[in-house]
Amino acid sequence: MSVLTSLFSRKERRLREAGWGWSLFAGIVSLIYFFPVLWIIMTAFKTREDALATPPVFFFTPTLDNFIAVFYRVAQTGSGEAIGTGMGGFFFNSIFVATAGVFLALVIGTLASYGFSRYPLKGNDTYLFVVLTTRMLPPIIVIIPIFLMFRMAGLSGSYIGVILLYAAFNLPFSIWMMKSFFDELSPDVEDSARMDGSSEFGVFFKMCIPQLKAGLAATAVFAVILTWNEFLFALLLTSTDTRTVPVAMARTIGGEIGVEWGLLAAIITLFLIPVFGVTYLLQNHLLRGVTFGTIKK
Amino acid sequence: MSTIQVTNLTKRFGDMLAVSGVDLDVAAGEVLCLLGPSGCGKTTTLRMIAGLETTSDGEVRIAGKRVNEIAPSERDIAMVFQFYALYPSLTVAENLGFPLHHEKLPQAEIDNLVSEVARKLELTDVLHRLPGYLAEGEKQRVAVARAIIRDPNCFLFDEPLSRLDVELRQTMRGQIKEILDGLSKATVIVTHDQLEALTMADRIAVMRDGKIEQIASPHDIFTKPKNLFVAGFIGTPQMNLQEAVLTGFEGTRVRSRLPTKPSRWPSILPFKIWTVVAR
Repeated sequence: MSVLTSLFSRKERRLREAGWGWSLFAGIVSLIYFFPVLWIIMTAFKTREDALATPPVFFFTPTLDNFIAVFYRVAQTGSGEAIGTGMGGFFFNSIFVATAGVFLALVIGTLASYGFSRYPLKGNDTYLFVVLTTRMLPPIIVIIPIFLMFRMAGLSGSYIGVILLYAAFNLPFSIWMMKSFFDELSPDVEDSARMDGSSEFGVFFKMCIPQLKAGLAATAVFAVILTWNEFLFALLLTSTDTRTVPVAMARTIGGEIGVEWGLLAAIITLFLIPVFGVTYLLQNHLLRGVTFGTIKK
Repeated sequence: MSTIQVTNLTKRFGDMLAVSGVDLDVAAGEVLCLLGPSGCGKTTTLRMIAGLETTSDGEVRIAGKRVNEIAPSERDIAMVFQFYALYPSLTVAENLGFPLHHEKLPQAEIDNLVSEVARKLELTDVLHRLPGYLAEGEKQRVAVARAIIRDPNCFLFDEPLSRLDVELRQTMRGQIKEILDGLSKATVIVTHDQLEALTMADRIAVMRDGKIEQIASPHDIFTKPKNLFVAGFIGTPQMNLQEAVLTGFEGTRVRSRLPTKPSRWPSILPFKIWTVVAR
């Protein structure tokens, strides 16, 4: 808002509808941004010939073969029988692991940030900084110790292991983000509820949480995207049963006829749907969450 | 009996002495205003009485009982916050009913009390609304209604009118005063607006730097300020102060003369000469 309003002089503070020229320009710019996604989605519906054609074709007869190939392939035995690729299971794994990891991180993060915000410890900022430093190093540095630790603890290859790891991944970010939302809330409301006889649990669940829906949604979306796309740790710590989609995707590259672009594009297209869905559902909250507290009421 | 007694109340934040040795005594049915400039410790004093802030020293007694170690919810007091602190996710009716849930009243009785207090403060039309959709004056009335719906031992108001515009402030001042008169509870109002203090209070306690400078009735505070600070703080326009030289005593009165070169020229407004006397 501030950028928009400062563009116009004080007299013309009212929001003006943009003209056709600007709208067209904005459309072209967003198309450039969206083009890679569009390209992938198009490729998913192409035959192998269309996908590899030079110059690229934009008009073609769409086919669903790639999507079928995501879930079924022809058995090698020559009987022509269709056998499952297990991709459905990997999608389930991705959804399950991301949901559980983000949920856990949000629960712990919200409680922790409430504590950090309302009951500061001696050296509160130091603790918060320490929490943040865990996000500073590139994850690949800790991959060997984490791998060994998970091995020894017997967590390697289990759902519990990946979920715990993703929760730990998202925790610093959740704490920092939720803390900023808690800091914006007026503690008077909580004090007032206390004086009116509310228990500490009542104060937290009845007063704080309803006010923080937008913040929770925004934090959840960021954490879901981060977790959903995570590849490195998933590659190392998942087994055949718990493999997530990014790892499974990487495994389809290769094979006797080279990279199957159509198949890969079909997986990616399916892979995009849940994140699109989550972001679309929460977009109103997301905008409110991101701009939360930027304007004094 | 609805009384508040505060003796030697002290609050330290680290090395900073926010409130030091405050003594207050509010009788039942009396309205005491804590008046002072920003940061003088008046809100901290109020919060200590409410139990939202721990005391470093001293004692708070409500209805004759020491409450230092008792949680705010058990002190049986109602407080109106500066920014109203309405519960944003609850409707006005739920906001009003909230303090009653703690008392484990049957729902029918809660509804009765809510509609009764809503009628008293003209809130019947907005009972189903969320606080975010209320006008500023309505929010203020909801905050007051939520405080009086219970029958608490005493009332605490933290700058109750500071967010209202001048016109609303005047009407609300009268309305609050009227309600308080009908309830005969010990009430403490924190304000930095002397007009508010002078019109609403039975007694005013002027505070500065964590200490009470003077406690007296509004009339006495205005006409007989105890020291230079109170004299300078109260009154619009300010009381004119003029340095003078003490020349002698005549019974209970003093004689003084202006220095040949006044250090500060008196303003053209009607003023009275303030003589600084060593007692």
